Amino acid sequence: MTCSVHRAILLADRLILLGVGLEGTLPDRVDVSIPDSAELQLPVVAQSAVSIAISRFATQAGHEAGDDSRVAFMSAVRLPHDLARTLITEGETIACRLVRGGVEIAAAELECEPMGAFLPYLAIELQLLSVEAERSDPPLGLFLKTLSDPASARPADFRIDFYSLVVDAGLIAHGWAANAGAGTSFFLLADCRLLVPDDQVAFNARPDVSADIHRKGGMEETRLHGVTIFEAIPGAPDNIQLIAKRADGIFRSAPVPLDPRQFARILNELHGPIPLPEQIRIASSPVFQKVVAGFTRTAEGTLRSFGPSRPAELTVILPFYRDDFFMLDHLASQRRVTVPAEFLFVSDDPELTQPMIAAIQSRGSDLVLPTRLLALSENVGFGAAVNYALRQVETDYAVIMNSDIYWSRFDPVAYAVGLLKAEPDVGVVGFRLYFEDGTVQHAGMELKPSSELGGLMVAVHPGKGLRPAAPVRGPVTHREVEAVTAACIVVRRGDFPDGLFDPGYVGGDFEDADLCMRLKRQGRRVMLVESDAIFHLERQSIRASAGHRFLTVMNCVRFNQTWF
Amino acid sequence: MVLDPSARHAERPLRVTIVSHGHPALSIGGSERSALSLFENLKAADDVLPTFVARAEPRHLGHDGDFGLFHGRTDEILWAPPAIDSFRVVSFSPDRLRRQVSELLANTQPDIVHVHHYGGFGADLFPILAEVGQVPIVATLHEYLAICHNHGQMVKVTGGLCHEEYYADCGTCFPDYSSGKFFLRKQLLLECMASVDRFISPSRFLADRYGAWGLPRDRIVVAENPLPASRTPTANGTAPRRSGGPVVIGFFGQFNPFKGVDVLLDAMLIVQSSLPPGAIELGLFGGNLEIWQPEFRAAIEARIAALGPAVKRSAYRNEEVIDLMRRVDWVVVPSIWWENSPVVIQEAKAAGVPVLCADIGGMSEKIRPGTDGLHFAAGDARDLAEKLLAIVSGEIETPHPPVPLSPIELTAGIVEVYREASAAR
Repeated sequence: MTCSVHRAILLADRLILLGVGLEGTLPDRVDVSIPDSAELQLPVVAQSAVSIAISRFATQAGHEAGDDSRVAFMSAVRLPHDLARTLITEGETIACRLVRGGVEIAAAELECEPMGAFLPYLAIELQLLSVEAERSDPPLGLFLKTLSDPASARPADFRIDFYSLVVDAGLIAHGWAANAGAGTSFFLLADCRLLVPDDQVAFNARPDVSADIHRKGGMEETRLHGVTIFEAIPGAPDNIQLIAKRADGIFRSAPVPLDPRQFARILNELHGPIPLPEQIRIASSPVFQKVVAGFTRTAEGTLRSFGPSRPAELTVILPFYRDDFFMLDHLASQRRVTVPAEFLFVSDDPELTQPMIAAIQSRGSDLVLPTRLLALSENVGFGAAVNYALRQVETDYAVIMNSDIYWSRFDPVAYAVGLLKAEPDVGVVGFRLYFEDGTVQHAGMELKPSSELGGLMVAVHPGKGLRPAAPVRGPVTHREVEAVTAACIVVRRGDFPDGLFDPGYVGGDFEDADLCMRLKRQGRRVMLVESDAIFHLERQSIRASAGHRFLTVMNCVRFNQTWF
Repeated sequence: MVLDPSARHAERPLRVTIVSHGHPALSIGGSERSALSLFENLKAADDVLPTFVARAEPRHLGHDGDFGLFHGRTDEILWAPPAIDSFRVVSFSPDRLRRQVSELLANTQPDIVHVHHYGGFGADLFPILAEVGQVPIVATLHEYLAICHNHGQMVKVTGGLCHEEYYADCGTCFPDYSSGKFFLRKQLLLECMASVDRFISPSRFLADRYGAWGLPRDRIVVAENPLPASRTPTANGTAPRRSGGPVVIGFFGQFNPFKGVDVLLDAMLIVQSSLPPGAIELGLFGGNLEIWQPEFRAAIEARIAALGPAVKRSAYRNEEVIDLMRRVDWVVVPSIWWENSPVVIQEAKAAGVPVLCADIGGMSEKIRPGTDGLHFAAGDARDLAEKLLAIVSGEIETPHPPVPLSPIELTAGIVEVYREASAAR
C-alpha cells in the first residue's frame, strides 16, 4: 500500500481525514461519499514529514515500518450543519476514495468519529491539527490549537460533574471539576456547533471537592473547583458536551441532556461561594442577560369555579407554590371580607393543584365568596403567575397576596380600595405587615445603596424584626412611601393591561421595587396602609439562605440597570 | 336523684349530649373514662337525660355508616368522623363533619352539648356544633393540645419541660413547621374555640395556662371530672393501715414516656441498694408498654429485670382500681409532664391512699403535702428515692387523706356549669 486514509473525525461541523502515504504518491484530493446524503471532494490541504512520528503512525495505519519516505496528510472540509449533525447522531460510515491526477489510488470505508470521542494521541496528529488550526477561523481554530498542544497527548485525569444544564436561547451550566480554576480551557459542543465560552466562565471554591482530593491523596492546585458556564446558543440542541483542556490533558464529558425546567433551580443554587464581584460580572454580562431573557417560561392555565356567583369589585389573587398549608386560612378568611369580592387562587405548581382543589371542595361552607382556581401547567414564578391571573380578572381592583399573608381583619384592605377610588394619582397601595410575634415585617421599603452588593441600590425594610416604635392601634391610616413590598398590595386592574410585573425578574425579587419605580416615573404615588391586622408569615427557608443568592444579584443588577 | 334543684320544675329533663373522643371500652384513656363516668352519673339523675357519643373507628361500627350504637345501647352512640389534620387539629373534611353533626343533633335533640375532647374530631367541631345545634357548648380541657403540638404535653421533643408557647421555640421542636405556621395554628384554634360557651378545666393550673395562652379566663370554670358513682369515697372508707412487712408503693396507669415510670424505676434501684431485701415493694399496675418505641420498652424492661422480685407487675380492670390501691401504702404519680388532673390521683383519694407525686402542674395542685401526700422534684429519681427512703424509715409520716367530694357532688358541679352556660345566652 502506498497511500491510505485511516481516520475520519468530526470536529464540530468539520470533517477531517487523516492519512499516510509514500512521498510523491499522496493524493491531491479525497472524494467522500456519504450514503444517501452527499458526494464531497476534499482537497488535501496539509502534509507533513516527521519521520519518527510518521513511522509510528504508519505502523498503526498498517504500513510497513522503517520507510522514512512516508508522510502524513490531512484533508478537511466544513460540512453543511444538517449533514454534520446526521453524521454525529447516526454514526454513519463514509466511503473515501483517494484521487491523484484524476485517478483513484486507494479507497477506504471509515466510521466517522465524533469529536467527543477523538483525542489526538500521536504527535503527527497533533501536528496536523496545529496546521489546521492555523488556517481555521475561531472558534475552531482556537480549539484545534488547544487540542494540538503536545500536552494533550493523553486523556487528562480529570472529572467533571455538571448536575444540570439549561437551554433555550442559551445555557447555564453549573458544576465542578477538580482543579478547574487552574488554567482550564472550556469548549462546548452543542450538537455539532463548537462554542468557546471565553469570558462566560466563573470559578468558585468547593471545600467538598478540596476535601475529596486530599482524601484521595491528589494534588490540589487551586481551591477553585466549582465552575459556572453560560453561553448563548442559537436553536435548541438536544444535548451539550463539555470539553475541558488542562495542562496535563484533555477531558470530554458525556453528552448531558438539557432540562429547561432546571432553569430556576440552577439560578437559585448559584450563590454562596461564588465571589460577589464574579456574580455581578456574570449578571451584568450581555450574553448572560440574553440567555436569561431567552428563557421564557410559559404555561397553560385552567380555570375552575366554586362557591356562589355574584358581582364583585375586588379580586383577591393568591398564587401558591410548593406549599398549600395556607389554603385553609384563606378560605376561612372569606367570612371576614366586607366588600363585594371574589377569590382567585393560583396554583403555580402542578403538584399543588389537586390538593388545592380538594381543600376548596372539602370546605364548601367556608366559601361565602365567588372562588376560582387558576391551575398553571408549569411553575412560572410569582410575577408571571400574577400577570397571568390578572388577565383573568374583570373586577376594578385586585389584591395581590403572597400565600403566607394572613389578615385578622379586612378593614385595612377595604381602606386601601377606598384610597384607590378616592385618589387617582395613587398607583399602588401596600400594607404595614407583621411577623407572627408582633414585630415589623414591612412598613414601607426604602431604596439604598448596599455595601454588601457592591454599592448597588436595593430595597430595604427599615425596622424589620423590631417592635414598632409606636404600636399601631386605633383607626386605619395611610402615608406615602418610597416603595412597598408586593407581598400584599392593592391595584387598579385597568392600570396594568400588559401585566403588573416585569417578567425579567426571576424568583420573586425586586419586582415590587421595580413596579413602584415604574409607577413613580409615571407620576403616580405609592401608599402604605397602617394597621395592626395583617401578618406576613415569611418563610423561614428564605430567611435561612446563606450568602447572597445569585438570583438576588441578578435581579438587583437588572433593577439598577433599569432605574439608576 | 335531682342534680339541678333550680330546674326542679322544668317540664322535661335537661338533654345533654356528651361528645367524647373515644369510648373507654374501645380505647383506654383518662379523658374517655372521665366522659363515660360523667355520662353514667348524669344518667342516674332524674332531671338529666344524657347521651354518650364516642368517636370510634369505622371497624367498630360494623358497617359503613357514620354512626352506630355501642353494644346496642341507644344512649351510647359511636361516631366515625372524618380524619383530622394532626398539626392544625381541624377536620380534613369539615363539610362532611357538618353533615354528620346535623344528623347527630337531629337525633339527640340536646339542650346542651358537652365536648369532652375535640382531638379526634378537630376543633372546627365547636363552630359547627354551635351553628348547627344553636345550643350552648361546654368543653372540658384535658391536656394542652391547643397550645402544644407535642401531643399537648408542653414537653420539648428533647424531653425538657416547656413553660410557655413561643412560635419560634415551637418551630425548633418541629422544624417542618415554621413559626408562622404555629401562629396560624393558634389563630385557627382560638377562632374555633371562640364558639365554646364554657370551658371546664379540672385544675386551676391548666385553666391558668389556657388563660395565658389566649382563652378568655372568665369562661374557664375549674371543676373536677367526677369518677363513677361506684367510687364514692364514703362507700370505700379510708384505706386500712397495714403493719409489718414491706412498704408497698403502687404505680397505676399507662406505661408511656410521659408518665415517668422510668424515673420511678430508677428511684427504686437507688432505694434497693440502700435497704435490706424485702423492705420495699413496687406494684406496677398498667399496660400499653408494647405500643411504644422499642428503645423505651427495652429501657423499662431492663430496669424491671434489675429490680427482680421487688417489682410486681400486672394489668388491671378499672373496676378493680380502688381495691388494688387500698392494698398499697402509697400511690406514686411520677409524670414528667405537667398533667392536668390525673384520674389516678382522684382514685387514690377515693381509696383513701396518700399520693407521692411530681411537684409540677395539676399534680402538685391536687396533692397538698402533709395532707393528701407528698411531692418530689419532677423527673428527679434521686429526690424520689430520698422520699421513699424517708417513708420506709418512718422519717416521713404517712398522712391520712381527708374524704374528697363525692362523684355525685362533682357531677352536680358540672350540671351547674351547664345551667350557667345556658343562662348566659
